[in-house]
Amino acid sequence: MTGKLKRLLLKNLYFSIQNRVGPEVIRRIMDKFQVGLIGKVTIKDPAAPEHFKDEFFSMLKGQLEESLVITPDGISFSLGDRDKLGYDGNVKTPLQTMVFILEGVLGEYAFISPDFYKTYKSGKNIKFGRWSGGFLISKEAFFKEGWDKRISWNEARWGFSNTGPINIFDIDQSFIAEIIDTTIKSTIEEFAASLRAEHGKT
Amino acid sequence: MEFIRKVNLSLHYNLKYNILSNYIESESSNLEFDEQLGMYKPTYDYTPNAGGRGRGVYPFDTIGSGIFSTCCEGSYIKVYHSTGEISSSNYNINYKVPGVTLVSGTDIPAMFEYKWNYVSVIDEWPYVNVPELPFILLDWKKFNSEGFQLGGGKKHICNLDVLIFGSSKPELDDLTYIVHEGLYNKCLTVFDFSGGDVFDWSGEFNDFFNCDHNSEIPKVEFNNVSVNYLNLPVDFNNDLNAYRSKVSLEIFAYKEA
Repeated sequence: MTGKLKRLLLKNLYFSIQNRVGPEVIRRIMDKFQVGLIGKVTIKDPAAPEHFKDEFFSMLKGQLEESLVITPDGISFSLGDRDKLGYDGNVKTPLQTMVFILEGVLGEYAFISPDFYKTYKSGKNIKFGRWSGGFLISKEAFFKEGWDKRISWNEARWGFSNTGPINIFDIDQSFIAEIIDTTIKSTIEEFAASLRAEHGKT
Repeated sequence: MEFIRKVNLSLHYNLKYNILSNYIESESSNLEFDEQLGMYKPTYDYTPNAGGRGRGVYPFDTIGSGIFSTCCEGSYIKVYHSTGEISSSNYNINYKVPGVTLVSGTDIPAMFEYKWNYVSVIDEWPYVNVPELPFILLDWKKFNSEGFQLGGGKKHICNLDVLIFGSSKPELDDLTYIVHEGLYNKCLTVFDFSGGDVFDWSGEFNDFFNCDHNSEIPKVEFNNVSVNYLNLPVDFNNDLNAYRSKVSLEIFAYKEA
């Protein structure tokens, strides 16, 4: 392969991955996000994935831009970096709650909203502090503390209770090979055309 | 029984009886007759107890010499009446409940000595009946086959997460290390289970159980074994999710044409 063709191929592949492969991977991840995470809990719940959707999308786009590199082995990029998702419990990021859901939540929980809490506690003026958005309690505590006398378990049950791991990053990647093939073919055609043009000139 | 199920079962017993053999505890319990089950059940005074999901009584005589140290029911379990030992021909052991069923004789079982799995091992996400901590679950992610030679040869590839739920940080650290060491750079003998699982449907030892290896694919290999701690943002120290880690791996095997 001539150096010129190699440079042209790398340039075109980089462009294809940046503008076609990457965005399509992100679109497919977001589709899985939509199906697996959206609408499962009330929007009043501060842990509802609806609240993290935009931030998650921006994070994926940012990661694509940051991680897309040309190496001696080819072109690579990575999405869903563990640190950025907030896997490290010592570093607080808004996406941590989503990680909790993606990895699976063991056990049954009820979501208690601040409004419901106030009603249940006869309108007392309560300072919620870090629980300002509501909180989860275990099923055991729900019945033990008598919440079931005010609201049924089925109504209060948190939608992600006892849900296994949800792998939104496991997408069908067969489309990538198609885009790469098309890019290589069009690059060869482009290169051949440029050669013809050069020969035509001389 | 097909390939995936055989690998699943072989790995399940490898974890429970081999890799976690240091977590097989010796115990003695008083027995009490359960009219509904028609057997004598232990009265536990410890938590977790041997009867929990994914636990049970250890069935073989020796521990820690391979997945199945022997292929027949052990004779180490002792059952006593009020003044002495009951002959083993007079009772059957139910390894899952667990319990003792009297089949002959008139001596009333009052106490038994046994060994049991402190760490529960289960092969699916516990949507119902969550085991007591600590427990380990096998979460199979993917199975795929691809060609590896001219002709009809296949390479089977499975992706698996082994999720570890501890009851404290030190326990989680130990279990994570032991499971990782038990899988890293190791391969797994795949048993055929041609006579069925170790235990029959009722929980008693299956007399047809044998240790034959799967003739088509006698072993699988482990690759890309890695550990991640899941430091989830949990505020309750007694929460089931408080101490978790995940050992991820790829399992592969070649099947000749």
